[in-house]
Amino acid sequence: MFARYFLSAIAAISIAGLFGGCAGAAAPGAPDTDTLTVFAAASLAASFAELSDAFEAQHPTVNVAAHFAGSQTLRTQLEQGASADVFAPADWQQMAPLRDAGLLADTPVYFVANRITVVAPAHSDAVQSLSDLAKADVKIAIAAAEVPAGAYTRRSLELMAADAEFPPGFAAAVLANVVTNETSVRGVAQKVSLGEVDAGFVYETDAAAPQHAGRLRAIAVPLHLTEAAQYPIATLAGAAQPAHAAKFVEFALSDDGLAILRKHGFAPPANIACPCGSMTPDDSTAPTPALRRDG
Amino acid sequence: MPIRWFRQRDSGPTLGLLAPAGLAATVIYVLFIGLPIVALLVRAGQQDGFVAGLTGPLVLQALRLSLITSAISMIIVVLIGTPFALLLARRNSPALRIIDAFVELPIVLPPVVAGVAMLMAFGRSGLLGPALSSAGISLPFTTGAVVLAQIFVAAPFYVRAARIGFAGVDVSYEDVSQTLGVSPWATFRRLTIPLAWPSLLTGLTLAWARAISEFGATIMFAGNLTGRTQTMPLAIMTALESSLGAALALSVLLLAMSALALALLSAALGRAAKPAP
Repeated sequence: MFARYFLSAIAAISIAGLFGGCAGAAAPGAPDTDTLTVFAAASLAASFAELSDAFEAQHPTVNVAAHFAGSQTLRTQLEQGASADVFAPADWQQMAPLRDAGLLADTPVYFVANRITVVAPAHSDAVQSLSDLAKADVKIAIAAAEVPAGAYTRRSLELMAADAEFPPGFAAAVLANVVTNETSVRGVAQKVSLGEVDAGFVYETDAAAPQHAGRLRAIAVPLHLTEAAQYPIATLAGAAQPAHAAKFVEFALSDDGLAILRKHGFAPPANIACPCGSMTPDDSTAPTPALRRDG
Repeated sequence: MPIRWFRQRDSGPTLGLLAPAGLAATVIYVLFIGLPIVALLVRAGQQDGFVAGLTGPLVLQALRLSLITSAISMIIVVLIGTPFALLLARRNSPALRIIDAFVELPIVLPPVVAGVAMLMAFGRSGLLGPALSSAGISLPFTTGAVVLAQIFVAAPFYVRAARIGFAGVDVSYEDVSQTLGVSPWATFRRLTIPLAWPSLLTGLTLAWARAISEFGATIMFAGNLTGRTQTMPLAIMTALESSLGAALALSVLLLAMSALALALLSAALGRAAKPAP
């Protein structure tokens, strides 16, 4: 008899826990903290972990739960009804659809800038320069076209194709050497770091990441051959913690926040204003001159 | 009508209070499993570009690659797995018992772990990497890597079922057959295989279903390149983030293929269950 009541009690508690957990009202073990859910680009993982710690230190009642994935994955999840408080993708293309769908609570602003670079495994000499990328039998990993890093990579290749320094057909030859289209830029860095490919296109922040120290050799892409990767940030309309969300965005834009982001290799954005016009196909192909860091 | 379903098999002891509980559990189970599948079909029907998605190049290339790689995987699994399962079922040595315990490991191993393990073994800087590259072989990011990943995760389903099937065949039948002068090979082909057939078929279907749905090990070890390593699950993952139409088309296609495999299996098992004339 006792056993039966005991089991029922356990079942009731488990079910309550299951549904309570879905609501995300409280952090486990800390009944008086609010959980702030941040969806951020995979390339922000290390810097946002530190940013969140610093934010929590300033706001002891807030527990930041940050989720990192390819920005396009997070955008799809938010479109399909995932609930979060702050969204920080790696490009405007992943933010614009949310704004157009009325899912944002405020106007997004750019808060950091990054840049695409080429990396090769430290102990491999197959790729020494950018022109080596087009050599036969070179294996290259890039991010898929849907991933912001993949879009920046393709944009950079277009700029190389138009540049007199590179032979005709250079971009096509590089793309023909691509052996995998990864679903996040972290996948690219990891495959180069493991030495499974000869080179990959990642962000400068990935090339400098401590977990790849001693494993990656960066091959710089000249400034005029890359487009500044500017990251927008915004609070979401469905935020469970709108006040904390606004404070988190404010913190990311503050001098303290920027200092943390700079430490991880990010640069301040050229301009914090995001493009205001609606997302049109033109936006994705032609960079707005005012937003180019190098001008 | 539901009440009749419930009574049809009422030949055993009365279920008592368990009967309503069983009914409630059945409803919950069917709804839980059925609802997402119905939702997928409904959503796919509403989606603009669903039919166009079905015949789009992304879908066709992924379908072709999935069918070819899973077919090659299954041929290899049967060729290697059948004699291996027979040995496991018929011989009993300490070494074999240890091997037997490890056979099912890939079934419980997270596929991503399988992918990492394969990279560590066959990758360029893996254990066999230097030997393979000196032989001019490079496995990661090739269609061959897709096949290897599928074999790794799917083979245990076949070996396990085949071993159980072979163990269920009475050895005395085989003895009699061989006493009557039938060669061991002919005995195996004409007696053992037909008797173990339902198990072999079930194992092969499960292994094929596992191979065709393989994702984690493939994306780790074989990468994601359209036409070369992008199988249907990888294409669904990629398409979900750009064109929902293509993702839904692929999902429905994969669902239909799995359902067809299941239907063919039960039809074949139904025929196998009937006593041979």
